[in-house]
Amino acid sequence: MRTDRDVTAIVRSWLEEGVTALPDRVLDNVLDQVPATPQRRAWWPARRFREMQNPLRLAVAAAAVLVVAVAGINLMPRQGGDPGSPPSAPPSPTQSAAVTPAASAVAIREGALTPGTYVFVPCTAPPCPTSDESMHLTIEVPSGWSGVVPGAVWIDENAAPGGAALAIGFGGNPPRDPCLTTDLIATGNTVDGFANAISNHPLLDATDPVDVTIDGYSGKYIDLHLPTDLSACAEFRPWEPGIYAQGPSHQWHLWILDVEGTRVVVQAMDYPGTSPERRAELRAMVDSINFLP
Amino acid sequence: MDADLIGRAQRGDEEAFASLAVAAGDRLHAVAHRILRDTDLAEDATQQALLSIWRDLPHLRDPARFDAWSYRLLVRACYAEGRRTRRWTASLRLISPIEVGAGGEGSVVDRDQLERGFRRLSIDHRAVVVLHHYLDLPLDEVAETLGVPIGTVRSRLHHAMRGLRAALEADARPAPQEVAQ
Repeated sequence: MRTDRDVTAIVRSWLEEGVTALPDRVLDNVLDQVPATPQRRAWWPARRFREMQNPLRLAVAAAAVLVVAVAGINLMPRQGGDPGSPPSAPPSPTQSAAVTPAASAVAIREGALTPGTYVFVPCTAPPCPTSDESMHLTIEVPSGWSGVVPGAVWIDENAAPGGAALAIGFGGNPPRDPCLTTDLIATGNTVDGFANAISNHPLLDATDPVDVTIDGYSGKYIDLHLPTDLSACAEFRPWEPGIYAQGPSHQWHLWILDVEGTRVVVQAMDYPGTSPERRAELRAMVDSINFLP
Repeated sequence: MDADLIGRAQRGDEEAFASLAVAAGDRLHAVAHRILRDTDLAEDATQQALLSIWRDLPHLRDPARFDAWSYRLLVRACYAEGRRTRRWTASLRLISPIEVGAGGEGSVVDRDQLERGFRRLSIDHRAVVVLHHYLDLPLDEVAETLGVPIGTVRSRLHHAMRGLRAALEADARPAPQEVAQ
């Protein structure tokens, strides 16, 4: 009869035996694949932003100014007479309340935001586009919310039990196993392709798509309930590229829109414990969306 | 692991990642081999884990947690390999007995029985045994590495060790034909 200590000693001795060295060919194979394997950028870039080297930080800041300038141009009140005439003055992100609310819109920045109208660039995974070729939209952000990336704001860091977030992106392709994200289901770039892939996915708890309209753009609406127990995988990702479940029982409310031929996914997130007030703020932000020309 | 190296790799420096992969490859492979008990599967799992490490490095918030985080990705890769049941073979090599040290009071262990007992365990249970008894990780670190509650780790370890003990006890009992005689 062996004691527990005996069994442990036997198992430990047995585990000590066996291979330890990784064959060079396996390592070579990995390193050969690295250049063709894009890194997944974290959704929350705060730490990374602080770690950026100064030249890169300056480049990002310059790009943000460019977004503001472009958005400002688009938001300027139209001049009378010749529709092709340029604006009479350059836009400023610090314009006073004397101008229209839309004209005071500024680009989302990382950190706490004062209430007001902000310009979003659809993006949930940095590096985000900041050029004037990107789509822009404005959203009325209430008090207490913070910018995360150019396409997202959150409150209480979107963490359970009461956090919430709003993110604007382009959607992606759902993996057959949301825990692995290696075998993706192609959705094309259509609203229906994405909506049906999410709704019909056997491992996703999603409602059927229903017709919806935001700012005059039509699409589909889906509620997605993420797992209560996330211990089965490190990151539960309903689609890729995209963010992962930020906590247990995370609830995603998706407006999947066709904006002049481009699929845009408005992703509002909350938890069962999120207060009705915050949910109302979330919904008000969605209702305030205004796609810029 | 060198935090600077990890930081550079997080920012997309492929050479820094190559250095990381060289430094971490052996230990990851050793763990994968002990969980999967198959050289080919372990190589595939290690390769997959290293690519996952490269792909997901920007998500690692604390470089000091690199080792634990990499084990978590490795165990995920082992799960994926474990699902590829068609590649699981029942072929077990007959291995010569080993002498157990003083703690074993001179008893002889049939490695083949231990191998069989271990293979009957799920990947969940094997991972706990390997992380705790091979890597010497305390149970709370095993729980953190696997992303499960510590109670679950205790339960899995208890179940696994009970299974391994049963395998060893079965080995110690006389074979049926011996009883018949």
